[in-house]
Amino acid sequence: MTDPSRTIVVYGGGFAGHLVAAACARSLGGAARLILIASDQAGREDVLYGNASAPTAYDFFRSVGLDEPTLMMQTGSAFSYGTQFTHWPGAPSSWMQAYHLPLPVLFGVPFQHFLTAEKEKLEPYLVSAQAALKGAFAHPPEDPKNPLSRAEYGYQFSISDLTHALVRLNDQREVTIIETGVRDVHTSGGQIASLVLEDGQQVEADLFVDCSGADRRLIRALDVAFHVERTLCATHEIQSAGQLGPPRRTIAATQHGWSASTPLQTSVETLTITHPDSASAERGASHTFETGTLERAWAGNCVAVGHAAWGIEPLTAAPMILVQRDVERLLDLIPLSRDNTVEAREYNRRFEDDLAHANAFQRALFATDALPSTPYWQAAAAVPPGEKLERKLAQFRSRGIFVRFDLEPFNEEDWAILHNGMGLMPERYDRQVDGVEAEALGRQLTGIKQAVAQIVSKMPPHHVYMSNMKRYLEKQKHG
Amino acid sequence: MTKISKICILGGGTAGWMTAAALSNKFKGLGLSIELVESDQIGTIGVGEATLPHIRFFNQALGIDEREFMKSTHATFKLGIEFCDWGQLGDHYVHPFGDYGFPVEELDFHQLWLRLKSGNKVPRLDEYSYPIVSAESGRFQLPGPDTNQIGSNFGYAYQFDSSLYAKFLRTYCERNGVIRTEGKVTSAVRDPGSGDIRAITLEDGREIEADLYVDCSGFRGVLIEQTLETGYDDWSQWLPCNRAIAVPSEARGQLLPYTRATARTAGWQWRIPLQHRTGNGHVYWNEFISDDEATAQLMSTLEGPALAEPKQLFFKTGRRRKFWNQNVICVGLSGGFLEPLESTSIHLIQEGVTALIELFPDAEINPLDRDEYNARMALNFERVRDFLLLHYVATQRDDSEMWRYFRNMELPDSLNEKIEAWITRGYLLKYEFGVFLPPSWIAVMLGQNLMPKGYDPRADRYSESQLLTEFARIQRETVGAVDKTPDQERFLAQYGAKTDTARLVADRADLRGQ
Repeated sequence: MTDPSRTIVVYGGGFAGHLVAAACARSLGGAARLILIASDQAGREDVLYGNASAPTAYDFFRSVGLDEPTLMMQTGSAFSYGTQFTHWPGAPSSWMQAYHLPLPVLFGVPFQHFLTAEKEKLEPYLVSAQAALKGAFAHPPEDPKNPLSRAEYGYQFSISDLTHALVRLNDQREVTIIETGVRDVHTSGGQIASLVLEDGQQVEADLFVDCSGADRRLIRALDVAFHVERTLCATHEIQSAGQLGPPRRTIAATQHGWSASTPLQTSVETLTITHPDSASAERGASHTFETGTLERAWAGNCVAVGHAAWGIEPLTAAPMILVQRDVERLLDLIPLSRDNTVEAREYNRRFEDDLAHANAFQRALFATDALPSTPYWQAAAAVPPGEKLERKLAQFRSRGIFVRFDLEPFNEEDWAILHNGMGLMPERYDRQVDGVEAEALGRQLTGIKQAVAQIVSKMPPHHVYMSNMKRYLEKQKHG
Repeated sequence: MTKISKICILGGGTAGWMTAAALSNKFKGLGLSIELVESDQIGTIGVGEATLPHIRFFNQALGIDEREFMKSTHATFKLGIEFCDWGQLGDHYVHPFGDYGFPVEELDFHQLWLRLKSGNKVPRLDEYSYPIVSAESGRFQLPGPDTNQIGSNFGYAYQFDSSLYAKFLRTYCERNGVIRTEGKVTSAVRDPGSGDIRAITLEDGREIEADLYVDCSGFRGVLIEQTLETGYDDWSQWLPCNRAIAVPSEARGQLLPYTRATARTAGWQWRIPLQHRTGNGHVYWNEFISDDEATAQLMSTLEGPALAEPKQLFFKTGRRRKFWNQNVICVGLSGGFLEPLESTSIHLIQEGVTALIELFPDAEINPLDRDEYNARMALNFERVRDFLLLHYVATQRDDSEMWRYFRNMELPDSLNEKIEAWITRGYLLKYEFGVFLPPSWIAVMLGQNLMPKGYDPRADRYSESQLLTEFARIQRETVGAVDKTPDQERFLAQYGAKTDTARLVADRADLRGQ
C-alpha cells in the first residue's frame, strides 16, 4: 500500500531542514526517498530557536537519533531546569520558571488552594526551582519517595552545535544532500511542480518541506500569507566560559526588552531582544525579525516547518517545542497519495491550536499593567490576548483553577508556576481547605519545603555532575 | 465573601443521591447543610444501569467499599459493550475498556495491525485485547497493578440496579447528615431583583429556602426549565430516537461481564446482566415503529420470562442551554438526554457533580463560576453526542427507513473529519478532554467495518517477521492471561461481592412466557 517511489524534498540547510531530514530518515526508514537541499542557510534567525528545550526534548531528540549521551558528548549542551526571570515588569520578584511534575494534592484538594489560603509562594515547594537556583543538578531518581523524582529537566544548547550534530547524522543516513542553490520555484494549480536549481537541474517531489526560515521561499510561491504580529530586533553573542554555569537560563528584563543568558559546557550565549526603534538595537551584529504565523502551514504539496511557518520570541522553550511539534505533526501525516486533503486539513488544525496555545502562554508574561512605556513593551501589550488566555487568567484570578484545552504544549504546572511568578493571587480558594486542621496542614507544608531543601543541599553543582557523567560515558565507550 | 450554608437538591434518583453523596463527603464539617427533597409518588427513571470505569473513582473518593457496594446493588463487572447488528446484520464486536496491544515506539498498535492485516497475516484486532477476549468467554478478574502487563492493561465498570445504588447512597448520605424530605414541589419563589430562586414550596405548604439548588428532577426540570425557562438545544436531528420500553427479565445462563446493544430496524435494544436479573430495553424512533410493535419486539426477544410490566419512557435528545442558570444547577436528565448506547448517563452525572465541587460558588454567585461550568459541561455533552452518532452512521445497513435516514444525514464537521481521517489512513483526531479516547473510536469504527484504506507509512520501517513475532507473542499472552481468569460468577463469590439475593423468578402467571 505504501508507495516506495514517494519523494520528500526538504528545502533549507539550517536547523529545521536538518532536523526534518533526520527525523524523516529515522522514522520512515526506506518508505520515502529523502532529498535535502542544504545550499541556502536558513539564516541568522536560527538563533531565535533559543537555547532552551522542554522536558519532552529527551524523547524527541532520542527519536531522531540524538540521545542524551550524544547531546552531552558532542554538542556542548547542558541540563536545564528552566528559565529564571529577573526584573520582569509586574512580577513582585524574580522567579524560576521551572519544569516540574504535577503538584501534590493534599487532603483531596489541589495544591494551589493551600498557597492561596496561606498567601504563600510556590517556589520553595519546587525541587527543580530550588536546585536551579542553587546551581545544582542530578537526574531525577525513579523512587517516588525521593522528592527529586518530581523534578523535570530539559536542555540548554547552542543551536549551531545542535545543527552540526544533525548534519553528521544526515551524512550517515540515506539522505541525498544537494548543495546547489534554488533558482526558481515552479508552481501549478496551487502545488509546487518543481524546483529549478542553479545548475539547471529540476527537482520534483510528492511533498516539499519548506525550512527556509523567514525567507519562506517555497510556501511564499503558493501565495500563503504570513500574518505579522511584531517586528523585533535580536542580538546574539557567545562568550567562552571556563566552567559550566547553573542548569538554568536567566532572562533579565530591561527598559527596552530583555536579555537571555544561557550557560553551556564551555560558553555562555546571550540573546538580546529589543524593539527596532530602541537606540540599544543599533549596536553590534543585530538583525530584525518578525513574530507571527502563516495563515496555513500546509498548502498544496508544501509544508512549512519552523521559522518558515511561525515567528515567536524565545522567551521560554516555546520555539523548540513548536519546531518539535511541527516535526511530529508532519511525521504523523506524511501523505499516502497525491490527494492530501485530509492530511493538510488535520495538520493545519493542529498547527493553529499549537500556535495559539504557545502564544497564549508567552502572552501571559505581558498580562500586567506595569509594563514600561517603551516601544518593545507597548508593542507586546498591544497584541490581543485572545479568548483562551482571557479565560485562563480570569479563572485563575477568580479561584485558582486552571482552564485547560486539548493537548496544550504547556502543562498545568507550567501555568501554575507562571501565574505564581507573575504574582497573581487568586481571590478565592477551595472551601475544603477550611476543613483541614491548621496544624496538620502546617506540618505537611513545612515537611515538603524541608524535604526539598534537604535534597537540594545534597545535590552536586551542575559542572561537577556534568564532568562526572562525561567521564563515565567516556569510560563506557572505551570499556 | 459569604459562604453557602444551605443546598437543596431536588429529586432523589441516581443524580440526586450521587450529588448529595459527593457534596456531603467533600464539604463535611464545613457548615454546609444539604437537604434532598424527593417524592415517593414520582418514580425514578433508572435507565443508566450500566456504567463507565470512571464510576470507580467516584466511589473510591466517597470511601465506598467495592464489595459492599456490589452486594447491595446486585452489581456485575463490566469489561465493555457488545454491539450486535450495527455494521451489518449478523455482525458483532465488543467495545472494550482498554487499549489494543501495545504501541511500538511512537506508533500506535493498530497502525502495525493495519499493515499486517493488509497482507492478511493477522486475525481481528480484538485478539490483542485482553478485556475483549476475557469478556467473550464470560471471565473476569481485577486488573493487577502493572498496566504494562497483559491482563492488567484494562479498565472495568459495573452493571447495577440504579435504584438500589440510589438507596445505597441514601444510607451513606444520611450518615453524613444529609436531610431527606419527603414531598412534592409545587412552586418556587424567585427573588424579584436577581431572579434567583429564594425558596421552593411543597405540596403541603412547607417552604424550603436554600442558597443553591441542584435540580435532579429528571426530564421535567422543575426548576431549571419549568421555573427558569432556560431552554433546550434539541439534538434529535442527529439522534432521533425518542422513546424507550424497559423491562426486567429472569437472568439466564452464564453471567456475562458486558452489556449488549443490538441494533433494530427503528432503534436498538439493550441487555444488562445483573446478578439477580437482566435489564432489557428497546430505544426507538416512534416515526418508524409503533409503541406496540416496539414492545412486542422487545418482549419476543427476552431470554427469560419478564419480571414486571414493561415501562415506557419518552425523551428528546439534547441538552439544556445552560446547565447552571441563576442559582440552579441541573444534574442528570434535567440537564440533557443522550441515549444510553454507551452507558454515559451516570457518567454525565458524575462529570456534573465533579465540576460543581471544583467550581463551588459563594452565596453571591460569581458569574465566572457559572460560565466555566457551562463551558465544560457543553463540551462533555457534545463529545458524547458525536461518539453516539458514530454508531448510527458507521454502518452499511439500509434495510429500514431509520437506517436510510442516517445514510442521508449531513454530519457535524467534527465527526465528519474524524471519520475521513480514519478511512484515509487509520488516523485518529485526538482530544484530551472528553470521555471516549482513541481506543473507543477504533473499536466502533473497525467494529462497524470502516476499514482504513491506508496506514501510517512509519509502520513499514519494521520487518514483517519482526512484527509477526511480536504480534504472536501478544496474542499468546492474551490467551494465557484469559485462561487464568476465572468465570465471573466464580470471581464474584471468591471476591466476596456476590449478592445474598437469589436470582429472581417470574411468579405471575400472566407475565410468564411473554
